[in-house]
Amino acid sequence: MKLARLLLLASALLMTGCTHNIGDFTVISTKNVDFSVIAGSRRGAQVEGDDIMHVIIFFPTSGAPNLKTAIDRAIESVPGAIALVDARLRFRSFYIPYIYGQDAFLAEGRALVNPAQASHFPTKHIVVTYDAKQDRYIAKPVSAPQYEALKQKYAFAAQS
Amino acid sequence: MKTIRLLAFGFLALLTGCTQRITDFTVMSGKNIDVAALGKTRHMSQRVRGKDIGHIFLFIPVKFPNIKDAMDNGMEKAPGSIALVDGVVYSQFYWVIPLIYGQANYIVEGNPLFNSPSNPAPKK
Repeated sequence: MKLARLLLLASALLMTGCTHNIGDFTVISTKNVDFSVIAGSRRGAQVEGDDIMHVIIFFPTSGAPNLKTAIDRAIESVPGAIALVDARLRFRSFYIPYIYGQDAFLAEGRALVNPAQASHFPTKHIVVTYDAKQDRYIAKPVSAPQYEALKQKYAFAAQS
Repeated sequence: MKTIRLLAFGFLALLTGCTQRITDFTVMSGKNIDVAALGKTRHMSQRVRGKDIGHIFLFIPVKFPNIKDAMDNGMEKAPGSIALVDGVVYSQFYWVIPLIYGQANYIVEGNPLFNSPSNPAPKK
């Protein structure tokens, strides 16, 4: 009984975790930024990125978490983003003894978007269709294979 | 004698530490700056280094280190600087007296960036 209590106490002591703030920044970037371009950039959406190391039993599933990866993921979540403004960096760690734990770097902030780098459509191929009922044109981005398939289909239709 | 050897070995094993590079960055600032004005800046070629120390007494961290404080400490060495560019952040941990006192630190180094011409870089 005494041993069980001791084990319980030890487990409770080990079952600790915390998230702490490691810095607030007006601007932070890991990308190759041309400062002259920043002047023409605009503030985009609030974004988040993380890099997590999982610990199963007591075996880590990857190397130590990396802050750069967390910042990169936050920046890359918005097309054309080059930096984070009003950013906050945090470190989170917890461990449930002999079951599961995590160490993680978290980055959040507003993406600073360079409009020249931002592409509104995810691909270079856009198909425009005409809706006769509503008398309007509809532009839809498609992947390269979809574009080729459509091109062949309508080229065939035009020939016949 | 055997116990002393074991204790000495344990002491040496605990007297380890590590420094890990956790990120590098192109620009980092905690100051109230006009981001649009970053294009009119110039940076000093000499690097500055700042450190924020976290203390650990008997396994208990009494102060968590902070990257912003480390950066501020570095920027204070270059008065008038508004940001750091082309920098690196290191995380460092070691026991000074094993299991009694240790340190967990953040170290930031980079080139200070100055507004031009109102905050000129100091001549070295």
